[in-house]
Amino acid sequence: MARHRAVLSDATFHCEVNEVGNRRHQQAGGGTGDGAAPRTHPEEDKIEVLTDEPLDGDGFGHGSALASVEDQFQSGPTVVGGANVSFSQSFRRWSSNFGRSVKNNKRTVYNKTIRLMPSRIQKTLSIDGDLITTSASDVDHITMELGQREQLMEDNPIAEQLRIETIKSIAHKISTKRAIREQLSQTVNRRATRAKSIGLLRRYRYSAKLYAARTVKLVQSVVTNFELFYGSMKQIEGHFGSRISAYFKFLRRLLVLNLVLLVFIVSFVVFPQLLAGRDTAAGTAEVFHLRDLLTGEGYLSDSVMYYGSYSNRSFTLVPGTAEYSLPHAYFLTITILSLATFVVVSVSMGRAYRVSFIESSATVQNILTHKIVCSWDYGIANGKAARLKHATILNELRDYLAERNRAPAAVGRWQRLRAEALHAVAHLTVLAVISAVAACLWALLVRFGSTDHFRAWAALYVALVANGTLGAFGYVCALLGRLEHYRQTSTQLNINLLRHFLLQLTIVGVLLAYWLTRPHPPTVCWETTIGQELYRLLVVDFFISTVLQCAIRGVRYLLHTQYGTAAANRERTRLQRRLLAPPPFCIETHSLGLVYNQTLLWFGVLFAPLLVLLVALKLLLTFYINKFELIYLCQPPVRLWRSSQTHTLFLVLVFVSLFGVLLTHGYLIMQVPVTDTCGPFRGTQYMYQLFMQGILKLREEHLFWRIFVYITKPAIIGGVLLTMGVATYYLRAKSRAQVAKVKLLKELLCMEAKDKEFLLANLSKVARGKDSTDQHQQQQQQQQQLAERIELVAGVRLNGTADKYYKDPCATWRYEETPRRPAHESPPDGGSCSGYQRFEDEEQLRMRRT
Amino acid sequence: SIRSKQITFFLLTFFCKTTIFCVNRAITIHIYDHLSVFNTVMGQVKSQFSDDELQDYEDLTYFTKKEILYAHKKFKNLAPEKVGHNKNAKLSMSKVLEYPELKANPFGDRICKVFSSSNDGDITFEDFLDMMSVFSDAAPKSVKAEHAFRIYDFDGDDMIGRNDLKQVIQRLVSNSGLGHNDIDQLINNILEEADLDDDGALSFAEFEHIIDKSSDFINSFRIRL
Repeated sequence: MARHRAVLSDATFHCEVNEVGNRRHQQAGGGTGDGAAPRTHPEEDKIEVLTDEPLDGDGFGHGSALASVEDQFQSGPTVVGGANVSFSQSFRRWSSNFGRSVKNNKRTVYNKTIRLMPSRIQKTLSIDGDLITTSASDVDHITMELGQREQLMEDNPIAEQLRIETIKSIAHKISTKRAIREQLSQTVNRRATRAKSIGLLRRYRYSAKLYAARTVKLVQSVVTNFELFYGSMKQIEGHFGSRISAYFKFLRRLLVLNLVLLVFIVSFVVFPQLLAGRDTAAGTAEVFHLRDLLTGEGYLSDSVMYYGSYSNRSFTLVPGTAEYSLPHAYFLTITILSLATFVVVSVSMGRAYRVSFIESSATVQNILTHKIVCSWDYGIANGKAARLKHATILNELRDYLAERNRAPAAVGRWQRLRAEALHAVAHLTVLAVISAVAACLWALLVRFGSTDHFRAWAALYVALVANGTLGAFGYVCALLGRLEHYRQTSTQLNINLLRHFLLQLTIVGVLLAYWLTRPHPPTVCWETTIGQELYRLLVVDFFISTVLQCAIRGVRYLLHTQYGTAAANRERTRLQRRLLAPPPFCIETHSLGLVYNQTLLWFGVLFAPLLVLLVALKLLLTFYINKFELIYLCQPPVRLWRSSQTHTLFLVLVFVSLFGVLLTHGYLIMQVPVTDTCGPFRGTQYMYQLFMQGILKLREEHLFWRIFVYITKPAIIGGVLLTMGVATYYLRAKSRAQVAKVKLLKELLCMEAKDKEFLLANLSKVARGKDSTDQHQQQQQQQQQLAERIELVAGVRLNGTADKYYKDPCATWRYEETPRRPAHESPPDGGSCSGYQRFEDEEQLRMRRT
Repeated sequence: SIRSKQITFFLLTFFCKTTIFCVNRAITIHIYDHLSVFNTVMGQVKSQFSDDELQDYEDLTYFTKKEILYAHKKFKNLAPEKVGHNKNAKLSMSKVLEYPELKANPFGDRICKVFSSSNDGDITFEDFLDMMSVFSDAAPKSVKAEHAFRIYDFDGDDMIGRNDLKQVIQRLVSNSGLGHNDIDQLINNILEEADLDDDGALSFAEFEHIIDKSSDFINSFRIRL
């Protein structure tokens, strides 16, 4: 008790005594803060307990102190006097965290700075709960704290860069940031005069980094200048929100990728070939015919479009310089570009996967909160779109409520079995359909492939059938999906997506298998033939999946505007109504189409380098056609929840297809003999031999030769694989440990919540009891005991650090922020909770006795 | 070799011409609205800002200089005469809410209040720049989360309480469709999910926890300049 009094006498604090219920009600209802709170004891409104003043009564003092504790618990840092203290405290916390992060890893500074920055503390300084302007002391505080970080305060360009980034990330007004920056730079200048001059080496390093930073900035500004489709993207985002613009971003990304490929291929392969001129052995040039653009035959088959017309010579472009070997250029350009694309795709896939699956793995429980917090799309700039969004959110919330209120359907064993059987049958059906498609395609290929009327429209049959099947399959899948009744729409979407993808893979696989296995007459350049097939596939795909679909949508839209009015809809059947509704814009189908295209392109680039040009043009046209469809013809899709996961799924599909393509390319390069009469590799049996010849020409002692031999030793490869396996194992173990730790911390949080509830309950009891004056003595005793007990609890939990809190009363009041012992030291079965339970029981007994 | 030189010359000129032609067409057709806007902005507004001021803004926001000028043009479009006289003029909230994205947004007035330096919803150019910087692509999630928290914290008590949640939901569904019971149930469910310490309100830490785990937030909390 004596110790407790010491706490009070040491302290200088303000406190407000309110009725708890009143206060909470006030906060929940009016939101105006403490200013107008009804007070039961106006004379106790603000009690200042000064350091050496005698207390007029033990009971009174304790009562107010306890009430103030409670006040702090109830309302957080809204108490006027405590605000500065809490500000500095949380700032200390922030700065210590910040310091740690700086020490650990400079790169994380950018991310961690604001995360831990208690900038919202400024609101705790406000009196009536309104937002107030930043005070000068705020600036001083932040400046002071930042000034203590050595990394930030050095007088060199890196620190300056770091300073700028840190200041950028402070969530304050621009004027505040400017003041902070000025103060900081003053401090830095003052210190710099004292500091030694830096060494030469270091200066070079700094200037290099500075130039790098400047270059990045320059590139940024150039990129913002030339951002492709800026206006279109903004229009789409304003009309339909960010979810739909994700598809267009995907398209734009592929387009940019293809343009980069195009630049490299044209400058290293096509342009030199044009300069070198055609081989004299080639036949007479054919006359260009418009039909050739569609079929890829005739004039085009002898042009730089295809593998066959490239020369196997080395020549000098500028007299007197080294020779330019076209076969090497061809081989290296295409291989390196494929591998680089593979790396880029894998990295972006990994990042997307991390962001949307690993980092958000805990969101499964937080679905509703997400629906509320992340549902509004701030990019919407159009009244109609806003209304649509409102309606979508309302529907989602209603669905959620309905599902929540519906009693869980009694799922019997038979029902579950039936559902499983249904799904299995559906899967089998789809597999059967896909196999049937594959068989039919093979038969078709055998029928038309062997005959020799390729130089006619008949060449288009295969492409037409393949693409037509893809289109028709969508409807079959939709029909099946409706029969299957998956519980979650996302599951259904994903399954549909995978089925489509499987079909695409099958079709491409069958085509490739046929082309690669059929016997070639030695005079025909089979590489060119495959290139032509791919060309036809791409062209026909454009006409079917983009132009034809667009026309169908246009017709449906016309039907809708002519006959599909709401009044007439009532007499129609469901099928008619579905037909007359404005056509939906299905993002999944469109994205899959892009993936299909890209797969064909990646495969074909070895046989027809200029296919890239075709695909780039196609993507450009597709962008505008799709935009037109979306804005004028279609209704935007309704179900678009968690689009980033769908986007990741697409990246995974791209990755899988590219991986398959690379494997096939590897097989082609290593195992399939090339044609003797055409192409850059004629004269060798396999493509890779050209490269091997180059290496074998090197002398035995040459560095590259030794490196090559060394790397290809099995022991080295095995070692690399083993290391990767160990690394994977280690990372997996680490992630599992972190999951376990998160679980533990969550439990700890729950326990702390229980602690808090218990203390609050007791305190409110005491505060309520204070009004009755007749039992003043008894009450007083009780309060003292209770207060002691609370301290006991706190002291036990803090385990020896309690003494500090007698000197610094705020530390005790800010109970929730005091340092805790780590979780593993507390008894695992929640012993502290049961301890509290015991206290509470005793308390109840005591109350009953009085 | 003479022939090859001729061919080289011919092809080079051809390529150059084609490239120039294509770039011109590209500028006039699909990059037109963007590029030309930036270029004219550079001409018009250049006089209103000195280089030092631009550098200053560039250091304090997530924008490049051209984007800052573009933002100023957008700001000027809201009130051409007023901003023409004084580039940092203060516009009233109703004026700022004419900006299309803010007009369509149910939280438009809250956004203005949060970013206003006089706290009454009036916006100067610096506030506008601040706002656009926070909503831009370059701003990290944590900055966005901080401001989102302030926007949803209607009564400014540093917690998102039941009343705040109620207002948020009502604004999201535009005041129609959901009865009081439904909203109450929704709020209860939200608190059940996200209120980790059971104090009946979402603190910033809890809010940030939700945002941290969300991959969609950064896509939705964004306004293209």
